[in-house]
Parts: sequence; structure tokens; C-alpha cells
Amino acid sequence: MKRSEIIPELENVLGLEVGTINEDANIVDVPQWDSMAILSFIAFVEDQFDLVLEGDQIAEVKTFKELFDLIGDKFE
Amino acid sequence: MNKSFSNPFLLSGRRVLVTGASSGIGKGIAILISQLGAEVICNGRNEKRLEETLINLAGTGHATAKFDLNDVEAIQPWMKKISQQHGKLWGVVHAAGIQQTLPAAMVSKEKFDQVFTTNTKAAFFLAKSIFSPSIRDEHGGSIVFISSVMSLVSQAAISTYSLSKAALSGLSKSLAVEFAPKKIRVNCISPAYIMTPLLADMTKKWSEAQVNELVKRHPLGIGEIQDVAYATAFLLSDAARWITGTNLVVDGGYTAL
Repeated sequence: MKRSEIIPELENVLGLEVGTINEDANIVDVPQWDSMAILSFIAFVEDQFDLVLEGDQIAEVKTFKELFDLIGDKFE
Repeated sequence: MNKSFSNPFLLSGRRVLVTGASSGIGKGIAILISQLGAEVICNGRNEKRLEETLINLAGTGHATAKFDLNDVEAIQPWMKKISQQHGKLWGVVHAAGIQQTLPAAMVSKEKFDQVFTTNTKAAFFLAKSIFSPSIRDEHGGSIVFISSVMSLVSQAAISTYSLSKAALSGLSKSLAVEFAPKKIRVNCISPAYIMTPLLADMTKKWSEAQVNELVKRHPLGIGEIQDVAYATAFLLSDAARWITGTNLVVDGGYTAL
């Protein structure tokens, strides 16, 4: 998957309205990004990128940009 | 007058097949029931780890039986071979199982089948096979499915796991009635969170706060393998002679909260 594709994919999988996620947003400002979303994100990343992120890694990032940076070069 | 006490909690002379015996709960069960006198046939997919379980068993008459339970149609022929090589089986404990944390939106047919086949289908075919006269001990028997509190309560992202365990409840009730004439009892054990490699793997993905939250949900703290092993030994024994078609909750109070 390309980095440009991850937002629509995530919104789809998490059942979020299109436009809920954008890279510049602070995660805390998006109430729909709850603990369930985090769990889903971890499962999603493991499934799509064969990468296991840990809860503590995720707890440290502030923006969605930083979140997707965790996937780094695993993007196409 | 000399009345000798015959201990109904012992398993001497009983031959029990334990799946998932290479680690965690299955391994703990195999060890404990060997200490109670059972002859244990240890099943798993990793011969090296099965051998490690084997050397920890007390007494003699045990064996390893490496086999992939996902090949459900081959289960009965495999059990028949075990029965021919080692003797008839008194019990089977299905402790093999896989966990799956996945939001429903991400569950494909393959992912669904993975969990359902190992956790539920294999359980069915193990139970069905032990009913065969060429496999079962003529005196009766005991089938124990290691289920989960997630068969009774649940949480997000474990729909396939919960389903696979809840299904064991229905299965055990019908089989309990069907097998009663042959004195074979069928029961489930539903543990809450037990400290095992499987749990350690799962919680690796969680934050420290989430892990602490989990511990708090058990009034008596997180469980240990022995807690499930004791309950299993009880259900296998004559002390549970009159117990069938039930789901024994062993959960440190998790479902009481």
C-alpha cells in the first residue's frame, strides 16, 4: 500500500466518515480515534505491512503524520 | 472396621490425550494429570517442545503424538492409531487453540476459518472420534474443552475468538446428552486471562495502562496455568462423575464484576 492510500483504507476499515483523518491533525483532537481505533490500527498494520507496532510506541505520537511515520519504509 | 479410602480425584489407569501440550495451559495440564497417575498422550505440532513436556511428566506410560489438528478428517484415523499403539483413551482435553485480535471489518474467510478450525472444528472431531468403540475406554470417559470467559462475555476485536469458544458450549451440551449412555462426560472450562506465552504475545501490543486495566478486571488477579490444570484434572476424574454438559468458569471473579 502507498502512503497516500492509508487514510481512505483506515477510514473504511474503522467505519469512519471520509475526511475524519488527516496527516496534520493532532490525534487527541479526533474523538473517533479511540482505544478501539488504536487496536484496529495495530491489527491493520500487522496485516497489511507485516509490522507489529506496540501500544507504547503509539501512545508517544501526537499527530497522524507521526503515526504513519511508524510504518516508515514499509509503505510502497 | 477397615474402610480404605479410594481417592476419586486420582487418575491412575486413565489414558488422556492432551492437545496443545507443547506449551502454556496444555503443557500444565499434561504435567499435573501425570502427577495424578494418568498416562498422557501429548499432542502438538512441534516435536521438540512436545519432548520437553514429556520429560517433565511424572510416572511412565506417556508418549508424544505430533499432529496438525487442522486436518480434521485425519483426526479419527490418527486417534485410532494412538489407541492401537498405547491403549484405549479415557479422556481428551482440547487445550490447543489460537487467539485472534482483529476488528470484524478485517476478518476475511481465511482468517475466520483459521480460528474456527483449530478452536472449534478440531474439538468436534476429537470428541466424535473418542466416541468410537475402537478408541474409547469401555469404562467411560471425560472430554474437556478448554474454552474461555469470552464464550460468555466479550470485548471488541475478538469476534472470531468469542464465536469459536461460545460454540464449544453448545457442542458440549449436545454431546453430553448423546454420550451419556456410554458414561462419557463432556464439559467446558472457561478461564479468564491466564499468564501464558499466548497472553504475553497478545499484550505486547498493548500499553502499560491497558495491561494494568486488565489485571484490575480480575478480583483475584491474573490466573495461572495451574488454576486451569486443577479444574481440568477434576473434570477428568471420578470426583466429577455426575458433571456433564456444563461450563466451569475459572476466572478469578472476572465474570462476577
